[in-house]
Amino acid sequence: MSELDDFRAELRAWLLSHCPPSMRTPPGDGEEVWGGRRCVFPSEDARRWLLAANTRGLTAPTWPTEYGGGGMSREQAAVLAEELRALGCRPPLRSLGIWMLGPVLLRYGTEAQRRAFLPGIIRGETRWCQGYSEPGAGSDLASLSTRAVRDGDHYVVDGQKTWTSHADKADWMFCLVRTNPSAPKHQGISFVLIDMASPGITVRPIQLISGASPFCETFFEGVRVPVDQRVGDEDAGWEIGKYLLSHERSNISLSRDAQSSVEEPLAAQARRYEGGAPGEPLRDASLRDRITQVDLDFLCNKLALRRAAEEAAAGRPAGSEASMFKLVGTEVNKRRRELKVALRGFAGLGWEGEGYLDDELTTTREWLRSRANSIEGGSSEVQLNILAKRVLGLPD
Amino acid sequence: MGFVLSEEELSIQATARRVVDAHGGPAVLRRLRDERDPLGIAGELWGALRALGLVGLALPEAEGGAGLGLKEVGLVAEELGRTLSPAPLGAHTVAARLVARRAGSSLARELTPSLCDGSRLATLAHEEGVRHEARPRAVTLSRRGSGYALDGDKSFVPFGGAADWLVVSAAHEGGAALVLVELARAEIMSLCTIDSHGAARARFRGLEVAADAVLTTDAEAELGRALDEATLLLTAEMLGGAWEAFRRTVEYLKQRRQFGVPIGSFQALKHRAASMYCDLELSRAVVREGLSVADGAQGSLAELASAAKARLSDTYVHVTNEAVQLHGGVGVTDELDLGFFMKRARVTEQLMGDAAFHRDRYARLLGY
Ligand SMILES: Cc1cc2nc3c(=O)[nH]c(=O)nc-3n(C[C@H](O)[C@H](O)[C@H](O)COP(=O)(O)OP(=O)(O)OC[C@H]3O[C@@H](n4cnc5c(N)ncnc54)[C@H](O)[C@@H]3O)c2cc1C
Repeated sequence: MSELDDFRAELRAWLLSHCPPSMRTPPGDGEEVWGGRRCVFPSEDARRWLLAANTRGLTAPTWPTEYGGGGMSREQAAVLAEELRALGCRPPLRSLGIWMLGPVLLRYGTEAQRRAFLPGIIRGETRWCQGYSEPGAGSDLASLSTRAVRDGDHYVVDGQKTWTSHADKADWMFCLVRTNPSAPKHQGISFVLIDMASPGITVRPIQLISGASPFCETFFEGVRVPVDQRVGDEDAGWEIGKYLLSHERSNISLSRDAQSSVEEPLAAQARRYEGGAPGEPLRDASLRDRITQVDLDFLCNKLALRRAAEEAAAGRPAGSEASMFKLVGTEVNKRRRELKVALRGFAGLGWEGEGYLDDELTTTREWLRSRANSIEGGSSEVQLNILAKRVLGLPD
Repeated sequence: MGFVLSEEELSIQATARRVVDAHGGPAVLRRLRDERDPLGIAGELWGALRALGLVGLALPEAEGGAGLGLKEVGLVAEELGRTLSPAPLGAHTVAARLVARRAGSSLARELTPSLCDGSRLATLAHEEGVRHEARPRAVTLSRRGSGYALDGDKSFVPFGGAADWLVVSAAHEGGAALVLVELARAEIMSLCTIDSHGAARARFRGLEVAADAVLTTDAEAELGRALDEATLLLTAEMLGGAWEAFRRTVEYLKQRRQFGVPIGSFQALKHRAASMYCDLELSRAVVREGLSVADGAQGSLAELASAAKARLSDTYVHVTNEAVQLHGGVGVTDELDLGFFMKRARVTEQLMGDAAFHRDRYARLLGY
């Protein structure tokens, strides 16, 4: 047996004894754990599972153990992912801190910042939100105008962020602020970490078409932020902010991929509504063809993702793939959600209350939520711009 | 790690690239077209591929082939597609594999070495009527005396005029049979097609077939597999052609100026180019995966063959249509090679079943 096989066997045994059985089922609505000081665990098992995972750094498997990470090699982390999938374990924690901020701190942060922030991120004790977008700065993010003015060893921050997901539940925000208004727009931005409990911050939830209100407007009035909470040099935040975005993009596409592969196939759902024997072609030929198109695009995207991962593991990363997978993954996901509603016919039109199954109401809300996938994290149009410029070298 | 090319695969790819650039390319195709060449093969290129042993890559080593897989053949097919070089690599490989497996037939045994080194050329005669179908119907094999008789028409036999031997699929007693027919014994009509690649119609009228020339009368599974292999090799060629049409188009977008700027700076065109790029990357992944599965990697060959052909039929046609449009007026001139890509795309779209055929088949395979 190779070392990796030993590792796998030991890990599997450990997971079997430490991951509670109820955590080995797909999470229902609202059962995901996002951590943070104000975290309300959906169940005692969910809390126990996170605590167990923390003893081995499973939430951040490849990060150094000195900060609480798992200290695993890439191969070991791949084994972990396979075992978690094979046993059906829920992710113990979901976290912007792990997906986005962690990689930034590991690359650009000072040792003191890593020690101060990484352990809380890894253990799910602090929850982070992303303060990028502003009313006047969406796709053109670099035009942001939230000001940070130096005052001794503090910055004083004034302005407004918007679309800040879960700002009302987060403990901290990683934030892009303008430190130099007279420099060209990309050169006057800094990347700072702000405690959401600071005086002068107001958060106001915004409601989405799906009825949920997962994001907020965030107002800053004379908020004092210690200068040592700036990551990287002053006015050098744009590069860092973009580095973080590439992690956001690959995460959006990867999590969609993982989610859809455990879902009941579209054709089986269609069969439930239109009847007919298994093996028989679906009666609605046009719906059937649309389902096949989505299935095939999903399959091809999955294969392309695997190819990119294998090339990267072989030391041949291809570059701007994150943009492609963000674009294709979210567009296919939107079509899939459309179809899920379409194949339910009238049963897909309920908002709430009697007359509809829970699954039908959820499907409809998820369809509405999915419309945001190709807007958040850089819109599809913006991804096309990036591909045209970086990959194809087309002129501005 | 099926997606990362090995040293050996990279070297085959590099060799193929060198040979097709030296002996193939649109100029050769143009000459075949202008001369109304009835065979439709880049003869010099085919000779060079034979000399390098690239014709028998996926044929048995003991018989003079290289004993490698279809993935390697696919890499060469991509290069043929990239340069629009008409060469019967896919058709010959699939037909020869069917023959080489038939140890029970003395005719097959005798032919195999010459097919492996390419001194004889074989092709699969399967398509009937105006559209691809999985099972033969129009051509039938019936018993006659101690042997058989073959009747009916094959409508589109790739490189049918140039082959020495045809492997013919035929309906037989409710199932399917595969039959070896020497070209000289069939009635052959060479077709002058839009893509100037060799193709022919074959007619059999009560053709006497010796028992030894019947490869199998229980061909269902084997024919299915051969069609999937042929389909995947075709998609590899299509992949090469689509990338090349795209590459030429991106070059043109950078170089052509209107309104004082390169046309590639117009966002409407950028977005069309970027989305084609994504289509092509996904295409590459499914074609390479399909060929790996044909070589024994885990997965369903039939599902992947249909997935690949559905995507490549759509992608090759779309990319070449866009390529012509984004070139403006020169795009529709014969002088520019792009038209050849568009024409080849149309032919390959139909061959072995178009996107609708394969989406329907994929759905059936998955039970809906
Ligand atoms: C559900 C959700 C959650 C979000 N969470 C967060 C968060 O936590 N933190 C945060 O900072 N932000 C968040 N966002 C904001 C998100 O990043 C922005 O919505 C996004 O960048 C687009 O900006 P905008 O909404 O201002 O649209 P705009 O930029 O105004 O775009 C409007 C339209 O114009 C198009 N467009 C804009 N520029 C171009 C161009 N150059 N070329 C072609 N087309 C163009 C866009 O594609 C879009 O179709 C979230 C958004 C959503 C929907």
